[in-house]
Amino acid sequence: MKTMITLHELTIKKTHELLTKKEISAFELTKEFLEYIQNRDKEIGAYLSIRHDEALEEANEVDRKIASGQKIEYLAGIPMAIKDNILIKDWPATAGSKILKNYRAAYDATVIERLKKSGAIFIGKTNLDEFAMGSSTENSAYQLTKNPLDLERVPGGSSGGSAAAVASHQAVCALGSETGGSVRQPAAFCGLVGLKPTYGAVSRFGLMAMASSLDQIAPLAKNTEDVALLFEKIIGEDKHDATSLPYHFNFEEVEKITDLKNFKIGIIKQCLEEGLDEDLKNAIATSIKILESLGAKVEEVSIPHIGASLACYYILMPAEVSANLARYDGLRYAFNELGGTLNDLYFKNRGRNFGKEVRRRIVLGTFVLSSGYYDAYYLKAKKVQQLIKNEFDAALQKFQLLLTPTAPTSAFKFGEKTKDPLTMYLSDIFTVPANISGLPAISLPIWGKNKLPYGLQLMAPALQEKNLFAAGLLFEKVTSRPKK
Amino acid sequence: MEKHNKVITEKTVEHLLELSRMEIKEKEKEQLTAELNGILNYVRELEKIPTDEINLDTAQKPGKNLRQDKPEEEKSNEWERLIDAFSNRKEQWLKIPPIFDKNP
Repeated sequence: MKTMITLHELTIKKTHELLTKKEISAFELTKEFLEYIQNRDKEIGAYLSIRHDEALEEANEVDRKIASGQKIEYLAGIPMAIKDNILIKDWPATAGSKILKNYRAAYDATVIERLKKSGAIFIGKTNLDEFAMGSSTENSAYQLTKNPLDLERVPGGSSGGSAAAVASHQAVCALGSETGGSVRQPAAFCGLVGLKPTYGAVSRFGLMAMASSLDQIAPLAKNTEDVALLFEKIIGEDKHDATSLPYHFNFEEVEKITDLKNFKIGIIKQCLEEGLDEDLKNAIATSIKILESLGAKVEEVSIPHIGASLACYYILMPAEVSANLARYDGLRYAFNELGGTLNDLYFKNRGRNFGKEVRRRIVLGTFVLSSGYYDAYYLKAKKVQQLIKNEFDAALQKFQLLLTPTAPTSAFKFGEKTKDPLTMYLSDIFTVPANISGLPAISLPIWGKNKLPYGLQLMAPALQEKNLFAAGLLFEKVTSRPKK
Repeated sequence: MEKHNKVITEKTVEHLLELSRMEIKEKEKEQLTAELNGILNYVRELEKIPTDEINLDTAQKPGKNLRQDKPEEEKSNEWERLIDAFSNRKEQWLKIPPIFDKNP
């Protein structure tokens, strides 16, 4: 190796520079990551599987390109982590569930196909709450993942493995998935940037469905630039996903924005009325001042029914979960409890191999969709969802960005919220509105006096991720992480 | 878990478990029922929100990019890989245990 590379300093562009200047080869870099993971992940538990040989082969491919003088993309040779509910062909994809213990993906997810074309290195698959249901990654059937900033605390969830991998420098960046905050909340807990794209911006083909009308694959990284570079390569229409949208986005245009003078930011007042911790409130107030100093005009705005978002979500999401998870029958995805009739087999496989949270949501979804209750629950929730969407649309006529905290607290301790499901659900109170209204939202790391970071959430009009990136880039330049 | 109004009983939960094809331990049913009642009591706050003016038929746009209903040329052996994942197979078919109990 020609130079010593410090893994924690690597961003996408820095790595790209090292590779193109031939200061390190993609092979050497990948090998260094793999060696580091071997020890570091014993402590963190971010990965469910490591693609050792495959990652090195992918790296060799990039080195061949560089050697032959071909131009490589920014993502070429970048070691990244992929949440284990996203399919990589011929590789295990457990979704954190026992029911998929022996399953191997038959095809690549569209995002994987796109990133492969860019030359990205998939170093491993990361831990998650079973089928992405949870806010702490404690619902994984396989292992706990620790928050690299404080090993007694959760990394958030459900993309806790992806967030912990990046925060512990075991990957440069990662993909997670979002249904109600599963990338933004772990980003906030681990001091990272996480983006929930506009619904339809990224193809869901090859993402195991949880709630199809809300799910989006979502990037996570150490800074806004990396998130944007990853986003740029995974977006756009896909014939395999009828809800995917044509999307043209050029990061260079965002980089040209030098201040926020054309931005009006609405502070959603309902979200700051909640009983928030003083330290978080102060951190938010400081962030608002920074945004103002960058030229943004800041005003309060009301989304009158935003408080009903979480209740709405806990009807719509389980309803879709109960339908989407019906496919796991213990027959078609390589798990088989033998004996008895077909019916016996369904009951045994599903009852024993789904964890408590998954079963709870399947039963809840079955209930809200059942005859006699459908109108009172599901239809009512659909209407309230539309009402909330309308309120956001009205606000976004006037504002280019809306601001809230990402989560009501910083990372909590293991076991703190596992006794009562509702307490855990409340971790997503500020993130869920973007999912049920289909809007893009980003979480940026902020700090108060306490050791652990919080998340500052910005939301934008549909397909206007550029607003989020512009604000994120400028915000990061004038804030800095506290020294350890 | 705090006490809640009972929206659903353990009997309903048993029926829902039957509908969703899941067998759970007897002692887990009581806890599940309590948790579901907690969640249902929480989501019932939506009842108070007036939504008479919301018309979902006009508010929701139909999908624009639905594909043509034409069969596509098979390019890869993807279907074979999907079948490979079956726990038990006979040629290209999924092999399943008897549907009916032989000794009911």
